Amino acid sequence: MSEIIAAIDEGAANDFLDTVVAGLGPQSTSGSSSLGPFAVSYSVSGTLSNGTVDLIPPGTIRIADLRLDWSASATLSLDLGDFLPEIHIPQVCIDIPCVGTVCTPRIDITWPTVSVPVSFGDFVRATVDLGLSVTLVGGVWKVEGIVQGVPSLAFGPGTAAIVAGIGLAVAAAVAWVPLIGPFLAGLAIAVTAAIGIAGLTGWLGPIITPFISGTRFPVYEQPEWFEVLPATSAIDPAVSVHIDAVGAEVQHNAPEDELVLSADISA
Amino acid sequence: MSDHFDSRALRQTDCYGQRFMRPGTYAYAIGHAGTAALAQDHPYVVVVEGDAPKRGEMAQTLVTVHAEGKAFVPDAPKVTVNAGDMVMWHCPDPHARPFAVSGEKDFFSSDRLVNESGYSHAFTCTGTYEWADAHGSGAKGVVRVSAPDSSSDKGIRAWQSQQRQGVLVMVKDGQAEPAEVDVVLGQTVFFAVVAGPGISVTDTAVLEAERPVPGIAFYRKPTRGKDAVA
Repeated sequence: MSEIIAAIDEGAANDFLDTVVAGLGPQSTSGSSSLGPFAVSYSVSGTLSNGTVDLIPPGTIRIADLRLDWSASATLSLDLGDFLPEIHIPQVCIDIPCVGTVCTPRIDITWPTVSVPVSFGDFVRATVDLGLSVTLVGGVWKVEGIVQGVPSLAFGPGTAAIVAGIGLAVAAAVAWVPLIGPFLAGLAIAVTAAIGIAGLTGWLGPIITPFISGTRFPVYEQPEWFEVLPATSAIDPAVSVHIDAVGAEVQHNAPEDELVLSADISA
Repeated sequence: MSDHFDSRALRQTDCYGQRFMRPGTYAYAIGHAGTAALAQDHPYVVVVEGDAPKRGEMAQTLVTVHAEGKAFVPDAPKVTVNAGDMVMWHCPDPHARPFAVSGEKDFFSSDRLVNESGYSHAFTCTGTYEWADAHGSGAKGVVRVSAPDSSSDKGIRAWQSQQRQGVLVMVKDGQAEPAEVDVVLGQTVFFAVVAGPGISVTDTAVLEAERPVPGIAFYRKPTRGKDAVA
């Protein structure tokens, strides 16, 4: 029988994890990859907020609807020639009175490759299972909930709007390109179709999943030497106990499930 | 979005044409816009043969200019034409720097268009463009470029047809006729200089950018017109 036992029910665990998740702070990453047919360099940041906690014996803390608010800044490298037809300004012949006919040559228009900065954001939800981990590291006992496995991210309905927004951003960014005016609307459609919702989620998923998978939620932390009475004078020193072992598990103590921490101590 | 044009600085969408009325050998250089007239070497030639041209009979020779490193090189260093024919220079490279054609003879220069010469520009951006002679003759005009109806196949076909129709502006003694023209995106305007003291067809936005800045000593001073500097 352990000398110290503490337990919290699901309600308290919810409140507790609210505080823990809020304390995790934003996470960010950057890199380069492909988004649909585009080369893209990006930086993405995300912030977690707690969902609904369900304690499942013997060792699982399930958080349903864990929310990740993310924002991304990306620069797409876009070869307009991949999307737009080859065009040219035709040869023009003009009759000059009393002189004759003068003709200009055909002029081939080469579509440039452009860099388009885009910014967008949304949120995803995921249900994650935390496994309980108890470690003694550097004289400190740590109890953590660690996300198990790779969660499946549920993208919100705003994803479609993001894809459309990228198409519009591309159209706006290339408005300076000579002769592109009549092609802008078609370009936005082509870009949107080339990326697609699946393309965006397929690109974004692997980038932001690490913000959740493997995340360690601190549950409890305590030095193995625990002061129970402070020193009162030079001849009356502090009294400490040693925490020999810490246990953490989810127990079903009717009528509810509880997260139970236990400790064995010695003087 | 704008399409600044300047006959003194030829680009992919520009052409310079010069008609040669008398037999002879006319040497010229091709150089960066603004400095071509300073060229000491004129390595390329136009050889003009034959008698005086017949009215209304003009052949045309196209010289394609290529940017090679810092230099501009014509596809044919020597062209031979008949008196009265026109030679037209054009650089198809969209990345080439602006250039100018400068002959040994005064009449032969894209920087100053004199009798029997011309400049064409294909407008690739919509808008209203005012142009004027940078050399101060007072020649000026307006080109309004509208967007085509690209919402239907019929509109696109109409646009493509319009692009094949050039618009002519005749410039004579400092007067443009017509002074104002309306074109559609991608359409070409040919400015034919019938007679004049040596003019340019320059977007006034370019001229505005060339205005002298206090504290900067070097700028091109007009040698003709009301702002002329002796």
